[in-house]
Amino acid sequence: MPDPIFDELTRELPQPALPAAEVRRLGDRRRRRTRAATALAAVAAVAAIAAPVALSAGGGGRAIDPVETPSPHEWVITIAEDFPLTDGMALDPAIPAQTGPLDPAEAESLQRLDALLSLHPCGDRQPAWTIEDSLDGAWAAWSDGKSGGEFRTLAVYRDGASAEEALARVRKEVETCPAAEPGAAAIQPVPLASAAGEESFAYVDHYLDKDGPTGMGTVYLLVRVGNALLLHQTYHEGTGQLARVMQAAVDDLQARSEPVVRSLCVYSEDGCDGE
Amino acid sequence: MDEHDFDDFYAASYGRVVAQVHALVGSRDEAEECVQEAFVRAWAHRRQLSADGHPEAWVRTTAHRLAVSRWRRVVRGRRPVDRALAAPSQSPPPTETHVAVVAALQRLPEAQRLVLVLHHLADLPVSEVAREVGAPEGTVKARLSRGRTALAALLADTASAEGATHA
Repeated sequence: MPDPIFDELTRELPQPALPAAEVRRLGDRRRRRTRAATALAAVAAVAAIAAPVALSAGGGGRAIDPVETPSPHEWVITIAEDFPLTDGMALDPAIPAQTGPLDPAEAESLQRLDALLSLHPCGDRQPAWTIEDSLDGAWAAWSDGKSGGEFRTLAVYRDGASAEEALARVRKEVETCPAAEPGAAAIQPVPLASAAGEESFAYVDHYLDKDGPTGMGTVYLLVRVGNALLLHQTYHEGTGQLARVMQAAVDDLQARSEPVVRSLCVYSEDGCDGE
Repeated sequence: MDEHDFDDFYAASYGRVVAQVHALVGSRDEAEECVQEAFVRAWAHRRQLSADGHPEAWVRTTAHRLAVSRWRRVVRGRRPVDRALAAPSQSPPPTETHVAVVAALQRLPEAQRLVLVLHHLADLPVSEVAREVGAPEGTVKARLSRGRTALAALLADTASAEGATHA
């Protein structure tokens, strides 16, 4: 919108230093590199799964006493390209969700980047959770441009304990976040009940104004299965008794997460056979 | 988006987006580097870009994120080499007023700076700004009002300080 203060900033616009053809050439090169890296990751994933199988099946090796040396669990540390991260997600099937592998620079094009790649429940500069601590990650985002959209991030850690720690850090920060000053516009995280996967935690970022909670907020559901942590979030607003409204939003999110949480069994110590 | 469309888009949007990112991050060199990289990524993701329907917003958001991301930290480490190889900037140096406005913007809280730039430089209506920053419209309006007031005060302080110096 026109404003004289800002006119000065657009009086003389800079010209591109690179010709468009060079930008396209660099873009094509980048695309080829990304494809090659994805293929390499897929090969590594297959190798990671295949190697222990091959070792245990091989007959020529030294005999291993299963009692004396119980083999540690081989965690799956990559996310398959066809992992159904968007299952149960889109509110309107006519509008497909966007998805992508872990590449913060790629996800940077999304409007909710910060919330996809890190969580700052108390608004601190240091995140309570960041995808950079994981070994592999993937995201999915859905928006119709009108509602708040729906977002999922999947992070895979080197083992179950690391994923547990990641979830515990978020829980601790939310539960110990200082209360907002009365009458101030603020965002206040409030923990909510959830029961999904092997372990889960939910909270809502209440938007507060001078009169208190506005009834609007972003609802977060974190679900851990084995060494995988799923973050599912959506914007929500409603009228009525606030705690009940937000709990209903968590329950809804949990129900929509069920298909993808079932698929997370590949990261569980028990695998998918126990279903 | 074919080559012709992209070239037109690049020519029409580059300067605008640099001005917006410059106002956000405070450095024109960094803004130009990040916007250039964002256009490279835009071509690499042209199918997604076409489907998105807001290619300039895509490039702006990507460039801004790049400016604060680890990509920047990596590039900063390589900067001396990059500078030696980089094509010289085609842009005239900014005016004193331009520098003063950008400097004043950097003194505002990031949330206020972002909505001011999106609304006044990118010409987005409040509803679009709200969508882009993921905040309710009322919050965006409040940030715009407070940010605009603070910016005017900062510029007035700068002007009076300069007047005192020149007197």
